[in-house]
Amino acid sequence: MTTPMLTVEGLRKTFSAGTGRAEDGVHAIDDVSFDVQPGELLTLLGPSGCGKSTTLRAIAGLEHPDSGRISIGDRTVFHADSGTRLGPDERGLSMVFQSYAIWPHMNVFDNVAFPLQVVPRRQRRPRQEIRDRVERVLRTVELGGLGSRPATKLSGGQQQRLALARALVTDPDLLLLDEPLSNLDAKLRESMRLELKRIQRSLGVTSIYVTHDQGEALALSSRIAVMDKGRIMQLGTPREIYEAPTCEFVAQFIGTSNVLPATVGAVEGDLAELSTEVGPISSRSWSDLTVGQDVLVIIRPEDISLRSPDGEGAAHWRGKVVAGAYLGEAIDYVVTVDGRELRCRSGPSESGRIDTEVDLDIDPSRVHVLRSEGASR
Amino acid sequence: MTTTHPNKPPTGQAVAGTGQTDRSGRRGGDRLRTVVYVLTGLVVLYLVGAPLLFLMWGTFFDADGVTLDSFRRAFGSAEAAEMVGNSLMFAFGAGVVSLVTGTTLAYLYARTDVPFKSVFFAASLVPLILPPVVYAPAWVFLFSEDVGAISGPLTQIFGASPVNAYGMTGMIAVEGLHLAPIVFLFMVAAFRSMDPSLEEAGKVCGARWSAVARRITLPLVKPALASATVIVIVLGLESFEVPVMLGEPAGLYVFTSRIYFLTNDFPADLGAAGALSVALMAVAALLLAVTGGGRSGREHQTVTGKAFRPAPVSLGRARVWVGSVVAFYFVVAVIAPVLVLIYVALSPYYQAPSIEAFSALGFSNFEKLAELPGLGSALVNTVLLAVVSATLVMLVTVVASSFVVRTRLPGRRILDWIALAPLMVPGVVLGLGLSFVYLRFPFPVYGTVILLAIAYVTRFIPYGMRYAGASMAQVSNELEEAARIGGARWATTMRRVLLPLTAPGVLSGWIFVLMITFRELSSTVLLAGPDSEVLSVILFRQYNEGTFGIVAALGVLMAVALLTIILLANRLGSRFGIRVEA
Repeated sequence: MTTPMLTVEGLRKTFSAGTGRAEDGVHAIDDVSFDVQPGELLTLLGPSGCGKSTTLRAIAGLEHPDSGRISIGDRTVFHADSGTRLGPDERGLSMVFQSYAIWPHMNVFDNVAFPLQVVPRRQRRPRQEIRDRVERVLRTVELGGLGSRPATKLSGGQQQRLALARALVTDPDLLLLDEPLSNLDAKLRESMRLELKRIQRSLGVTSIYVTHDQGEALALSSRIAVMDKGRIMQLGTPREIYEAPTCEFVAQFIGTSNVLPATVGAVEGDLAELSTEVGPISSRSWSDLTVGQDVLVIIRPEDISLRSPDGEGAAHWRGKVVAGAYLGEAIDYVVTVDGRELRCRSGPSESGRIDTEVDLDIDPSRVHVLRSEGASR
Repeated sequence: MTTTHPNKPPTGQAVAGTGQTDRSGRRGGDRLRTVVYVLTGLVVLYLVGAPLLFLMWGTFFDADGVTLDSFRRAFGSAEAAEMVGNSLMFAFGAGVVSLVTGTTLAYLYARTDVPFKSVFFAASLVPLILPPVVYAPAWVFLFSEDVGAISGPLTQIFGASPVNAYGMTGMIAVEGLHLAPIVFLFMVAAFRSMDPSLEEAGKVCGARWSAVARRITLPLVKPALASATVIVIVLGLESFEVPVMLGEPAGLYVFTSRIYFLTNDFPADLGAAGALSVALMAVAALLLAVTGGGRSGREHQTVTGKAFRPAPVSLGRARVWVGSVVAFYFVVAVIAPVLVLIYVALSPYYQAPSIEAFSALGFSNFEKLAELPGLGSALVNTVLLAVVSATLVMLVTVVASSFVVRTRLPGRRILDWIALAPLMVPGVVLGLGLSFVYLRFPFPVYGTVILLAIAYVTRFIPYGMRYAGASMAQVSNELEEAARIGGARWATTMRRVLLPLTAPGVLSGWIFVLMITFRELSSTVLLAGPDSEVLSVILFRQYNEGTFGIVAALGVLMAVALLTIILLANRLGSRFGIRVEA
């Protein structure tokens, strides 16, 4: 295996709660470790306050964690024990900020050229080479020919590209992206998402991407680290994260999940029989279960199929549709089963289900079982 | 499920900041930053700390060691009690006048369809263009009992004038009117940041505008009003020119004028003056501390960050008489003082206005002024001091506030606090403290312009901090971080990103400090020697000698100079606009 491009080990950071007592502090990041392979795009995904931005800023050198180690390639840039704390200017990485951080007093060219202009005189490239490189990277992000434009005269999408160009102009080993798309409107965000992926793949630049938007994370990432309360809850490919969440938080945070407490009734081969408060259910997606154990059952809305109760076969559960929302590409239903609300999703072609009785069918292989203390990693 | 608020963790509250020392020794840029930080801290600490320390020393120590005798001399008489009473009455009286006037004007301006709106901001520039050292004599010319341009004729008709510039009423009126624009600007900001739908909701419920103003608007701006109150009362306590020019002739003393006379009269009692200074600063500090430094934490509750375009409240039939009250205020507070200054400046000798008086108008006072010994060097000193002090203030405060606002270096809060401390040191007290320091100082600084520059820089550092800090705070953190990530060190980041972005604010600060240095009197009066005279001191001496024609001529010149600076600054663009703030 090659050397990881980035290694993060045991990072911790506590913010003061303003009381002056350390024990009152908030654990912004609490024992975060991961590594990133060359060319990978790793996403740190989580709700606000989960520590994803703090982690990214620690990698950038904008925050200094209380403990842990960060290495870029084989170079240690931060190590709390040995007191190594390289400044952000010494880490040789690039960053795209949430606000873009386009300098309003410079034109497009100067914004992009800045990282090339501020290197010590001995290592600085000749003026002409800087010019060429800036032009080239501006063309890459489709801003070619706009170099002399004042940076503030660009549209939101163009400013986004400009921020990306400035980050790419140095051919960085590591590109950090802090919610780069969150200031764009929905339509533009989607097209920039694809654009970003194209550029990242064609340049092969190792990237860390921070977002709270699971759609972005699933679409862009090689791997996703889902974070909550300063910890990484699950680290895996987008498919693993979506299809096999290992804890309740991930199941709830990525997409929508129905989570039901259940007890293991019997285990026969690969089929586990469970009883929930709304009725029995079988699962083929489980591990390490013992009979009588308390567990959580996770079912995605799109894995529940609804049909009118015509007596065909044995339905798992019977319920009543109390609300439906037509989304264009699908319909979301709220179905009550024994007083418990379940979210279900159907194809957009059906209609007239509201206030009717329905039978719910669920494929056992789509029923995921988690141990009840879900939060354990 | 996505979260709807992509808020980031509270990075601003980090305890362990970027300031830890680095043992790898590879952070050359940061070492430069550390050196500059320490140097700035030492300069500010020396400037602010030395005079206060020496003041304490001179107050609490004499040849026999620790003593409280200076306090006994300062407070041990019946006049002292009267002086304290006068100070409080003056500060609170002027506070009430300025708060009522300023808040009313601000409400009318920001919330109603009152006429003459364009004159409101012109009136708010009065304290800058007509500094107290000019404004107070103007009121003497208007309302001195027998010969005032207004009270003179009144005395002839009624036998006595109902208004008199000298004495407590005059002091309160003049100081109050002079402070009112500060309240006005402060409260306009508060009224503007308030969501007008709160008022509209009141109106929809059937309340009249008076009820809305009383029950909704005023309670909502109460935090801002509380801050303004503290500010004007502290400014009233620290005021020097008005009590010394209008109070002393009537035998009324307050802290500041008492300190001045104890220092300046023969035999001087510096210890007693120091005791009064310590007491006065304690009162000011107590006021500021108890009320949170005039800053209100609750103000933001009414600010939602939306851009409001509130529909003005219609005054209806009241519009006419409210308009005439505003016009009357403008005439009394602005037009009359300006006109009387010009009139007295052009009159060959001081007399009440009449037809023959007007026919005798000429420039003889200006000729006398030009022949005044030392005027030329005073003019040069004043201009030079203003430019040098403003430049030094902004130099120090740009660097200091960049550390306070833009970094998390340990001790930055203390630096901020020290840099703001001169706000509670009245000018005359600072002058006293500096004379304590530099009378003992081995280098020949005492009595030179260098000492005045030191005084001005010390005194106006808080204003520089405010201007520089405000414009630094507006620059998003990420702009600076992007430069750091791009490979720029501290000095490069300052030079290429932070300074260009804050230049307009820094320039406004420079102009502001230039203007207030230009007319500074209260600390100058104790420090200026024969070789370091400035215009304000010359004006003050002429006033004390009763040569009112020369006073008025000099006042007109100063006002014209200040007005020119303001107009030039405004011409430079609205971004460089001058703000008058306490």
